[in-house]
Amino acid sequence: MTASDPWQPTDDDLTAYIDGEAAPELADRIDTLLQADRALGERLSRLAAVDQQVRSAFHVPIGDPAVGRLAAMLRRSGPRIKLRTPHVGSWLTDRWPTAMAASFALAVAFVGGYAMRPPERLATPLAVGAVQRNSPVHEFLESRPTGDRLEFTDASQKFTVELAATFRDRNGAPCREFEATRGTRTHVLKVGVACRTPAEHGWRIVGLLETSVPAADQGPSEITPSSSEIKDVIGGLLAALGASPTVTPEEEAKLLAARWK
Amino acid sequence: MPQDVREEIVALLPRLLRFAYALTGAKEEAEDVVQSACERALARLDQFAPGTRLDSWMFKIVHSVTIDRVRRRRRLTYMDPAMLTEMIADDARILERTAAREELAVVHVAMAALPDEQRIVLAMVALEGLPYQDVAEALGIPIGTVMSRLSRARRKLAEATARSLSPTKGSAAS
Repeated sequence: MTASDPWQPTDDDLTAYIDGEAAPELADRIDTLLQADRALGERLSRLAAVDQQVRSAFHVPIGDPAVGRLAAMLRRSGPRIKLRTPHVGSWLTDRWPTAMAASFALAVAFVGGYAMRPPERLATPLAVGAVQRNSPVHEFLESRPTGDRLEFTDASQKFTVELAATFRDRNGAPCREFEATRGTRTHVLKVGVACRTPAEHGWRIVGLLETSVPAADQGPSEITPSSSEIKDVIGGLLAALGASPTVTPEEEAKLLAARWK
Repeated sequence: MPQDVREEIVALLPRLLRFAYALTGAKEEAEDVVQSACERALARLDQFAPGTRLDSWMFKIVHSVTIDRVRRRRRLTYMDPAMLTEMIADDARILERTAAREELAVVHVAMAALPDEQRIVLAMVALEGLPYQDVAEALGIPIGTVMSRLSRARRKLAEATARSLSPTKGSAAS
């Protein structure tokens, strides 16, 4: 089934897998193969690394002077023009204004956007890709309301995952926004979104932003990414998902009771 | 609550700039492209469908402006990696190692060497994280074509960087 299985995914298959666009059966098949096929893992890593190389090569910082010049040009261009767009009232978006005002140091080590990172999926329970069924993270996403926390230890370090919001993607699938903090919740390590995939009867982390945000100036309940770049990336992810406004606590309770059906 | 669309475009500017940068290969060109794209977007705002993605719409306009400009004067040229290393050194201040800058230069060269249709798909997915469906709709091509173009583009860039990192490199760009 593994070493003796002659099947190998094509580059097109791996491309779809990297982007989270592979059909569940294909993704499962690649997942299985990856556990035993080191060469495939390396092949996948090389392809997946291209995205980060492209992002590095064409990086434009938020504070780039060109951004300021273009923003000034846009703001000079006549009266206000209104446009109605969907509002996403998630935990992160609600707190961004506060976060932007905060001035603690930020060290972002993110691989932005909506990207899969296959090598990491094997190493940590919080990695882009299918969440292992019956794992604590799966049960947590499946059965706990927004605001609940899960504590676990990985490589002798304590982590806390907190559910931040529940919303639906453009196809109506329930999604949950979460953040992971380390130790005494002094560093936000990962901010991500997991969506329910009916075909798999489980959860798939569809986007993960890795950060290293010291929260020294924040109380334990105010750990918040404070970078407009993070806002840009998470906002991009929510937009990419076609995120609806967050569901009400009553709706969430019904979804939990019905096991998200 | 409705917002001034210009502020929404302002929020997209870093993404629009890097997208245009990836398409044109030159930062100054990217700024010109984004400026033209913003002007075109504001002039044609009635063509934007409320409720759909503003970023996809803007990327499409940036792509269209880029094509118009490139048609007028071909600025996407193959450059010597050493020269490119110098050009992007200032952009890459955060990367102090020469090797890292060289790798960026190789990515620039490899990106410029891609066919237009592969470069745009790679930029939309790898750089901007758009789903295949949105890319397919924006470019008017089937999802399978998105996937195959993306796959070829990733493989070419992976091969280019692998060659550049090999000890026998000498002709980094093909």
